[in-house]
Amino acid sequence: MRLFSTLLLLSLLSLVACKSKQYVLADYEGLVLGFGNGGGFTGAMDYYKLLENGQLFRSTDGENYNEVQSFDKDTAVQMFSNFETLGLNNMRINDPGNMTFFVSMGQGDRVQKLSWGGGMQTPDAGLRQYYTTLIKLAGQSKNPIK
Amino acid sequence: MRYLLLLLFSLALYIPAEAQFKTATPSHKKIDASQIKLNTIQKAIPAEMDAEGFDYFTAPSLTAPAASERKNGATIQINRTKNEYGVPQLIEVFGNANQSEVKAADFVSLMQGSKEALQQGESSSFVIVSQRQDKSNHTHFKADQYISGVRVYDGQVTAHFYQDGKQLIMGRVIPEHVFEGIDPIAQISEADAIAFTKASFSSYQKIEWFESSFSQFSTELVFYDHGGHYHLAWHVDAYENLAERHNYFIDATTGAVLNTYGTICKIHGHDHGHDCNAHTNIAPPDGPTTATAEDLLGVNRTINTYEAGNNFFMLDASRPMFNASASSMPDDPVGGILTLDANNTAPQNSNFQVEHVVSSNNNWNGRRTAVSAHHNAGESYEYFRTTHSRNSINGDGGSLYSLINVADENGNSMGNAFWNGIAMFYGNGDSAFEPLARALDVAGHEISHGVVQNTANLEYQGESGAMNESFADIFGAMIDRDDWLIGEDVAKSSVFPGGALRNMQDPHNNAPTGDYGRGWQPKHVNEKFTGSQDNGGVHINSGIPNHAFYLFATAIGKEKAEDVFYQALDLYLVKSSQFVDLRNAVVQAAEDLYGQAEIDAAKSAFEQVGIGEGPGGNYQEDANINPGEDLITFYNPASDEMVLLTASGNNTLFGNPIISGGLLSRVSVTDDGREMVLIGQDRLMYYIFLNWDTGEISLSVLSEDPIWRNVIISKDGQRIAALFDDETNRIWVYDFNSENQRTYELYNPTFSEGVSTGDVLYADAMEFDITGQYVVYDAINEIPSSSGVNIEYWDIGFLHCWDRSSNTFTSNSNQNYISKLFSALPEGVSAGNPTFSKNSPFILAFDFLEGNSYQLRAGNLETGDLGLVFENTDLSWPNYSRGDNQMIYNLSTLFGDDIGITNLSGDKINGQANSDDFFILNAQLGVWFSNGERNLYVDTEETIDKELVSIFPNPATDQLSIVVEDHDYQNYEIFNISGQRVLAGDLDGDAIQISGLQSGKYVLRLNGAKHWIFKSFIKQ
Repeated sequence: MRLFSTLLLLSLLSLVACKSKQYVLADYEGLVLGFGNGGGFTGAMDYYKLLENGQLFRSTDGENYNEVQSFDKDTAVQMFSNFETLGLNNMRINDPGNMTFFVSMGQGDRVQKLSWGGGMQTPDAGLRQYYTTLIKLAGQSKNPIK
Repeated sequence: MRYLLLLLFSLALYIPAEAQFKTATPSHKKIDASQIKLNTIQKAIPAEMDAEGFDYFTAPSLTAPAASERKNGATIQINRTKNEYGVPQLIEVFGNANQSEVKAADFVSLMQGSKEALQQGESSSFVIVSQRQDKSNHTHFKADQYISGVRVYDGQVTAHFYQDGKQLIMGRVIPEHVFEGIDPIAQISEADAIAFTKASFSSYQKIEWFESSFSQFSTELVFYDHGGHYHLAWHVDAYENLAERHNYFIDATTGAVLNTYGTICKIHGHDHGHDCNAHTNIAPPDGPTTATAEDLLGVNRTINTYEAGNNFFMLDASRPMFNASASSMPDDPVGGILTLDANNTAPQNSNFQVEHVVSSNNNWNGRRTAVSAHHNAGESYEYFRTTHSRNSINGDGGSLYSLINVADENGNSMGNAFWNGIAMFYGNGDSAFEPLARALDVAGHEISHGVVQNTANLEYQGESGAMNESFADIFGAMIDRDDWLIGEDVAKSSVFPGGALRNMQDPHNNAPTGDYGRGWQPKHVNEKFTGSQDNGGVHINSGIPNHAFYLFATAIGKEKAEDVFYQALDLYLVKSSQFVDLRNAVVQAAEDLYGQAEIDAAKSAFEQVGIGEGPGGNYQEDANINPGEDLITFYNPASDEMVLLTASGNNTLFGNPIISGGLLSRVSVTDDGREMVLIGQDRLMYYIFLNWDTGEISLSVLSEDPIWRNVIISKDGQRIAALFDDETNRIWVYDFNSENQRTYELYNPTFSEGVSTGDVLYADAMEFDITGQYVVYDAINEIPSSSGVNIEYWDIGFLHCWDRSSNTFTSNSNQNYISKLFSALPEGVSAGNPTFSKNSPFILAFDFLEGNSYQLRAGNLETGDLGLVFENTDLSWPNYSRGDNQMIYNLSTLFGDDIGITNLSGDKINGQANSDDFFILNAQLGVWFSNGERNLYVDTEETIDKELVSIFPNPATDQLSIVVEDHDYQNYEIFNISGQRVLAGDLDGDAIQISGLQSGKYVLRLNGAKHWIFKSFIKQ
């Protein structure tokens, strides 16, 4: 029993040790991957900000963000990496519509933003897949963390 | 492959601009700013100052003058009715009366006569796109701008001929000089452009389409604005496959992909369209019919349906626009109104599917969503047809499509409706909204977006985007015209306390102030949202023109108001129009259609929401003029000395010269004339204190490190800003009061928009604003060019380094502390050596250089006006006089280097004709200052402070009593007449013991968290 307890404790400690550093969004100074959509008749928007450690924040006004369920860290790292792999860092798209979709990457106020409108098509197959992946993952994370 | 192409061609995105302003020199060692220590000095008492500050970040940028105006040096007026190139957006011409028989030749003649004003030359032309005559027999043209036979993609004008002889030109015209140097002959062939496009597709399929007119790749050679520079480009409108359509702009010289964006999949389009979900087409006639069924409001509606084969379709083929012979029913109606079912799929997803709403017996009970959408689309169509004589959304009998049961990307019910450029999409609601198809004004709103797209095509960002939203609301409200509410039949009151999504009568909508999520909108320009969210507040700021329409309609009636606004949209507005253009357009349309009462009502409505006729409100008050003497300090290059004299020529002050041995920087002086800072040729930083009471002068070394190139001191003497001689892109700021320092890295703030103005190399000239919060500076920038030779140019920026409310430095960790004077400088143009007006913080003068043309110009940031003070032969290094009625500047002639002077007109930005003269011979870098004391620090809030704070007795002997209302001052400081702090402490009670002070004059400073205040007193 004592051996089991010790192993349990050790495994819990290892979990704690492996856990990434958690940030308050306002204090975070690293790269941020933003994405979201909205507009239409209501003008309602969903804004997301993903940190490299997988922490995800959601806002409906673009200013006040609440943390929601995180991405898996490996997934987050992959999404950051894919931004360049897909060449999105070389794109310049600023064409919002009645419904607007966007993906952004940046640090502080230095942000590259790709935005497009329409509602049916995104301007690039890679960007479309990238955006859809993000929004699908975020769709499972709308509830604030406990 | 596509990404490789993008990478390869991204180097050629920017057009070179020559810079001859100043010469960059190689960088030296980099200095560690954090290690800098200043010597202790006898600091003077900060003067008690109170003039208003100015927010250089929210003020509009100046627009550089157009080429023709730059060349002839004419005095110009740039205001918000001109575009960013300085071309007027409205020109009024008086021609012959009775212009009922206006022809295309009249249009050509009008444009020919306006060429100079529009800055067009021999290479330009305007090609008529449409010609229309309105109810009042006025004739209206729309035309595209061409340069050397190539269409300017965003250049379009409208021209209007009225019965009384008046002629108007409105719209966006790009000056011809902008295209100088751009070869109009494509180096990349049309076939190569298509090949580039095709190569970038990931799922290309060759399309075989039954319409002979259909082309999978449509091309046009255009001049395309990319990042503020025009490129000759191939515009390729391409169908990748049956489901995907893209627009490409490919540089016709380099092959670089300048921009790409998607358009939509046409559900059942006719013109150049394709079918996303093939159905078996059935040739007419089976025939239109009607049915009655309950909608989402519980109201029985009679709807037009269509019988085909053995089924009935939610297809209205009964309107006047329906073209039976051109239709293939039921899938491809021409002039039909078709309601389709998305079956809870999302258009963004690959599983998106659309199918007909079908009934086997024409019984639609239980299909309430479809009934609502179908009925509301028909009502909206009829509104535009009967009220505005508009034949459907596209004005040409194009079909209307409504898609119901649209889900969001995660398959959830969508609490929204939208227009995607071809169809209306309705979700079934969520916690905030009922099913969106329920409301007539929702359908009216979405269809109106289509009308906007097919008329002015207002860009969906910023003010033009807010107007796009507003027109959708306005016509939505006119279609559902029983109230001024938007979305009242779908918005849930649990979320929207006003019971509607928006309220045109009161845009605040009974919601908490600023809570946009609960329906609050601004109703006046002074409440305008300025953030970047919502594409610059398109759904938020629409409240302002919405309310203007409400006021207008209330004054003259809805019938007239909707006529006028529709005419403004249809005839006068263009893609880039702003609020002020809307006002101009509405006033003009009111004049077209009605009379003076309606014109006055339009003006009044816009005035009431803060959209003025001219450049707008929020003018700043001038400071009181410094009551001291007129004094000038300058550098004498012949004797290599710094000299001080009065404007009347007395040079006996302080035993001239002040300094011998030359200067590395121009002298910077506090507002009371007591303190100066400068950099000597030994690169040390010097501080000079001038005691005007005793005539004594003291010179001390502020920094013994020989690392400096320039230094300035704030008007109140509280802080200095300095540049290192290593010519890095940093400005170092030091605050004497807190003895803290901060270094700011300079950058060009357009980076975040994806438009680079290059990297900042280093700054040179600087000056503090009147409040000591901002530093205006010039800096040299470097832009990489496709030729491999980097281009350098100078421009002017504002550094926000100090925050008065918190009495601290601004953050230098986030790059939001820089703004620019000019929104964009034309190619080959530089601006530098900025200096503020002495009494109007929103006015400043600067050198403006293009080639060998050296102009001393000045601009008003409130009005956007740009003036010309003097045409020089070299850099001017201007400086305003004490009263801002004159300006001095370097004047190099055959006779030597002198200081010249010009009298200014009342606007402070233009020189008076024939008033130029020599002022001081053998002199350069003049600085005009004064030695009186005035208040520089009082804005509205601190005026209140002043009224609420009093001290007594004064003179005092042992104790100074303080009466403070409301404010929370935490501590105090007392300074003697030499500026030394002699007493300080916490403000525990309402009295300060001063018995220990020697007799004399003192200044008490009370410090709060966000406020401080000075009060003078005498200790007996």
